[in-house]
Amino acid sequence: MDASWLEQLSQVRTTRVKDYLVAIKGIDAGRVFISGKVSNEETEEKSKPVSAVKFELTD
Amino acid sequence: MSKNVSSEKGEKAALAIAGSFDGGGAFSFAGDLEPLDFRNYSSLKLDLSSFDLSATAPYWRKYLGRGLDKGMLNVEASFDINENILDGANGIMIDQLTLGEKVESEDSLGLPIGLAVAILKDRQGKMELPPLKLSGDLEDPSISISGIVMKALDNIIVKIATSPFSILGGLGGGSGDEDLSTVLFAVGQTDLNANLQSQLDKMAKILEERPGLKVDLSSTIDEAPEIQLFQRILISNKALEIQSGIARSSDPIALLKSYSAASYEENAIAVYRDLMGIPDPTMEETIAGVPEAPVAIQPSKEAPAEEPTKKGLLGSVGSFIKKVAGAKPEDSADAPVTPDTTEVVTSEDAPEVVVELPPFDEIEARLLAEEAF
Repeated sequence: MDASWLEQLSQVRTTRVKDYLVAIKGIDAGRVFISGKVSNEETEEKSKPVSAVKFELTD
Repeated sequence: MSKNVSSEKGEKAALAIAGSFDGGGAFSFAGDLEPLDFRNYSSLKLDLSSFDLSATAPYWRKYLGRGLDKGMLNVEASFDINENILDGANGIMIDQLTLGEKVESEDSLGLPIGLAVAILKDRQGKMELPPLKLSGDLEDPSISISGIVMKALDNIIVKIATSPFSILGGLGGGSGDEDLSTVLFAVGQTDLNANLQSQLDKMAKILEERPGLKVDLSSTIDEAPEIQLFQRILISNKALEIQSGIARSSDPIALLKSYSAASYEENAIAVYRDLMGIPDPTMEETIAGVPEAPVAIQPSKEAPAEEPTKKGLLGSVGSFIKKVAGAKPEDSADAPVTPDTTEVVTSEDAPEVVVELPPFDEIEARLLAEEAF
């Protein structure tokens, strides 16, 4: 149940960000992708995990 | 054209060269230098305009692993050499650069050229590279001018690809210093508030100004507080189910919308009472066998010596009931009739049972341990 909750939370957040860019700001939907990746970010020892949607630019 | 050419050491000569290319474009090269030892002293400026890059396509395939369909190069550069030390700066603008297919090349430098182009190329098809600084000691045998240029280009392309927002930040209309790559959400937050919308507006502006860019969205989660919130939502939901007797939605996102942090403690106590079989005083229930005996529940301000177990607490209440009804406790005729966690207050009309609840953190821990939701 916890995993399902975290997945849903992630999905809702990324979808809302995409919808805002596409539906409100008019960015072509073909330029905004959702990777679906969920990770508890701890890239650096001292970094605190955060709840966030991250952008990765691609060509 | 050159003037004042002398073979004397230390003498400088003026240089001015201009020309054009077959495929279009022009250049000029001007300044002064020591003609017999340009490494000792040179100060030159180069202007190159509309140089057709398609002639360089073989080099793109070899070193960058990409074909080149078209592009026009414009350069404004200055070079100063004093006693073998090179110090130069370039302004480079490439117009209508169009990359071709990816190609395999053993000599490829592996640079993310496609991403760099997408980041730099604006809506008019112009790419202005960040200032390219050239410096080095030409006396050092391991250093060559071409090596310095390649290293500087490598640094620029890698920086563009690895820290794109440091290049693009200013396009969004902000200071350029803020981190646009991460949209932070508070625990349980799913709506885009004004702050998040403002950040996304800047991202949209960048995408508008850079039509070759795409964006991949991924999510990260700070699991501990998000899971804690989820458990509280479920506990609150359970309380509402107990109250209404009707099963509610199990969709976590729907439950999130109706969750009230302000009511959580009250709801958790309600679920605890249900779990432990402690009657709700607001229901004005009477305990079987104890006519007109109201039961008041009172959260404790201090932790009891031991947390009451379900059996223990219910047993205590049961013992009290039996005493009032004139029966003996189950376990022993000598067993105390007043449990640790129960106070008995009597009045002339009816006895009142005051059950002390444990501190709230213990109540919450118990609910989580029992998964009472």
